[in-house]
Amino acid sequence: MITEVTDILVIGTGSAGYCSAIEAARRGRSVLLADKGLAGKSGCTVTAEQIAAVIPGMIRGDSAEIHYRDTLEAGKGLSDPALVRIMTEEAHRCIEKLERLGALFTRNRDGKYALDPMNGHSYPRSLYYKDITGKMIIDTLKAEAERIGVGVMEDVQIISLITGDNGVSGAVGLNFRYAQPVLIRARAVVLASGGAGELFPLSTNPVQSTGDGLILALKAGAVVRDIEFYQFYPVCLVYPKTLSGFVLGISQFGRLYNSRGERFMEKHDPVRMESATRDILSQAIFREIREGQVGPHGGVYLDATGLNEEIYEEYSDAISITRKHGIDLKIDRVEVRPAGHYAIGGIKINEKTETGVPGLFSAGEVTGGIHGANRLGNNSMLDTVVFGMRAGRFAAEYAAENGGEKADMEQAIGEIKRVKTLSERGVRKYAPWQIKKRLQKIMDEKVGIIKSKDQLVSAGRELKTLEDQLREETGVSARGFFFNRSLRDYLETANLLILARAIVLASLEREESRGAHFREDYPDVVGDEEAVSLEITLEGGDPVLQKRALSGETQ
Amino acid sequence: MSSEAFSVKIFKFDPSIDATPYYKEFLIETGTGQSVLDLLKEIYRNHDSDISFRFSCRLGKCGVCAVRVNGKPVLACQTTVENGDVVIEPLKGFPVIKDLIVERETYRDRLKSARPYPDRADRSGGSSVQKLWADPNASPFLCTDCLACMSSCKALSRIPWEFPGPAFFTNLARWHYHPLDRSDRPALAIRSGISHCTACKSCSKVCPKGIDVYKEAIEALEKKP
Ligand SMILES: Cc1cc2nc3c(=O)[nH]c(=O)nc-3n(C[C@H](O)[C@H](O)[C@H](O)COP(=O)(O)OP(=O)(O)OC[C@H]3O[C@@H](n4cnc5c(N)ncnc54)[C@H](O)[C@@H]3O)c2cc1C
Ligand code: SF4
Ligand code: SF4
Ligand code: FES
Repeated sequence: MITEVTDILVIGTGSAGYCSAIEAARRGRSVLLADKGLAGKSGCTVTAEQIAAVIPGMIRGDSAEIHYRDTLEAGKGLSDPALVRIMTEEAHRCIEKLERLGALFTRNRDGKYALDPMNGHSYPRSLYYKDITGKMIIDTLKAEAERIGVGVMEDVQIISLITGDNGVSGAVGLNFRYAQPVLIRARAVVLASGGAGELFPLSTNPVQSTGDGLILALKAGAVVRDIEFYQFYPVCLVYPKTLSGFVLGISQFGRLYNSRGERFMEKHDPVRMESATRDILSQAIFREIREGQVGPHGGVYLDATGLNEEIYEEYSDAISITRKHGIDLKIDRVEVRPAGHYAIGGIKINEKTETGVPGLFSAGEVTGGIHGANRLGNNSMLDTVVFGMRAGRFAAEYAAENGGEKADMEQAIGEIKRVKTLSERGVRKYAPWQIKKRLQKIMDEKVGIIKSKDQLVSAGRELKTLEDQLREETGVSARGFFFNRSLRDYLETANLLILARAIVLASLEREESRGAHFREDYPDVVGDEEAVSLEITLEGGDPVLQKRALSGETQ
Repeated sequence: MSSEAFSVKIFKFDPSIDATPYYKEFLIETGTGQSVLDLLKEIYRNHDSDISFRFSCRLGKCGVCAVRVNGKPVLACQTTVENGDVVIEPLKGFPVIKDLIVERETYRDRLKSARPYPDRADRSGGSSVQKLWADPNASPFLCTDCLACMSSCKALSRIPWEFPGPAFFTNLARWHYHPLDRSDRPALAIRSGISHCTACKSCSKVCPKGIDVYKEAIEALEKKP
């Protein structure tokens, strides 16, 4: 066993994780970052294209206040106004900080930022650097972290947090590279482990997005909120496989057809057609898929031929990338469908990114409450930066005053024994990936874009069966810890199953349609009033639910 | 879909068990438009669950999945194999940790000597960047550190201790073009052995991001500013 001691452990090396690590290290704390993949390369951040922020003096009329209102509007009564206030007001300062570290954002000749518009934002306020903004940000943060001496552990999957009467005192991980368990003793822990796109068969997320952080937090006693809201990106390629999950923004100018050749958006939104909102598009495409009106790869057809050259120019990146893979959007129809994109709900935090468990802080996509019932495009990267920096600051303050208790060795040893036993399971009836694949199918068909009581109840039953099968009949064919992918798949699938059951539970309880949550049996979209937040905790390994009325909170 | 099969040979090496590396052959049903990554996943699922390889984004953006396919360094997730026999091996020029996973630390440690951040920059000021902004518009910023170019570089494989390889210089070029960087990157390039480059340009040919590494990194750094 490897033992590490640090003031602050940060789990996840996306933008949220790096921002916290840097801020904490700057305050003189020792910081260790852990990631189950390669640092700065294993999360969603590296693929993000833009970041929203209102910079004073850029666009006449725009302000942090309007950004705040836009965000609350999209959140449909479920956003925590205090968090949104912080995000929109600190945006400017955080962007400036990133720039000082060396992040580049494209500017016009006059020195002002080049800003793109985005659905739901009242003004153009999305900054970018080519289409590699996320990569630009993460490369910059990584360089800075290295410069100031933040420690990084790669190929280390955190499998449990160590808790006691005084809160969190560290974590246990598996180092797949050195084939060893790791015990990390820390005064404070920041969870920044990203989303859970792997819940769905088609996702825009990297393979590491398995919701581990949500389960780590739940097991440590934290609360997860509004997890029934999962955002889908409506038009993503399903074929060629090399590009499955590739987002096609050009679709709003194209035409969608089912396999009968019907332009089905005529039925669903005859006015806006293919430029309807993401939810409506996703639902319409999903209905066609459910009725089997699909092509050979299970998607509907996008026809983006015959558009005017300016549009092709604007989407030249997508066109050149797809061309490399043998399709020409100017000539060919392509098969598309919605893909799981963003976990809107997540760990409940307050303004200081505290989770309620002493010493446990959290930031980024793994948290909930900021984007409410639906997330505005490009607000997510902003969220990771603003709250990532805050998490680093408050974790550092906490670590200066608290912690240092001996980690509960018994807990740690128990965990290590548990995974060791798992790693010796050998072959059984099922392999973990088979369980994961079945889980994804259930989530896609019954718990995704369109939900109903019957479907959710049946999904809940099936998930329970899967959980039993995982526990009893699923093997871990490779032995030991050395890059043991089947062990890793096992652990991740176990997390996804708990998360999936929590989503079913909350989706059943939410008998309404709001934001990204659509119930076919309660199709009328409700207003922002009387918004109720659904909070999940874990009891004896099972998710349980509490309701919290928010009407007093919103303004 | 036909049920013909083709052969996929994979480099396997687990230093904790194997005395020497070997190739394991798998017969894979001919599909349509499978990526090398799909093949590897298929092998993991249905043939050999103990095979090790890296991937993450599946979209050509993170750069962690680079391997050699029939000798050529490529991104596994972005390379299609229709059928026809293939050999999949780890990148050349790096020690193998397990199967297709190579050790990146040596490269990274070496990179540290290049001070890979805006060096001698003024980090205190307000929006210092604004005054300095001139769109660097340089392709080295696109580099994903996939290391494909390193695998193709003969100078690197011949004299690894004197020549740090193309990705090193792409990285250096990034800071060379950076508006905040104040250090003399060309001088550092000379100290790092840039003169050993043979100008063969294979790095430019294999870069999955289409970076003309030779022109935008090597030549740019050799030219005095
Ligand atoms: C294709 C795509 C495009 C996007 N475009 C945009 C955009 O243009 N604008 C925008 O605002 N947002 C965009 N988003 C969303 C945005 O990128 C993400 O929400 C954001 O990057 C999340 O950052 P993060 O730091 O919270 O997590 P991530 O960047 O996802 O990082 C999480 C890290 O945690 C690690 N991890 C997870 N579990 C464990 C564990 N158990 N142990 C150790 N490590 C672990 C992972 O390996 C990963 O490296 C996009 C997302 C995708 C997928
Ligand atoms: S051009 Fe120079 S750096 Fe590039 S592959 Fe040839 S020798 Fe290596
Ligand atoms: S220069 Fe190109 S080939 Fe070399 S590491 Fe960067 S992206 Fe990869
Ligand atoms: S998996 Fe990210 S580039 Fe291939």
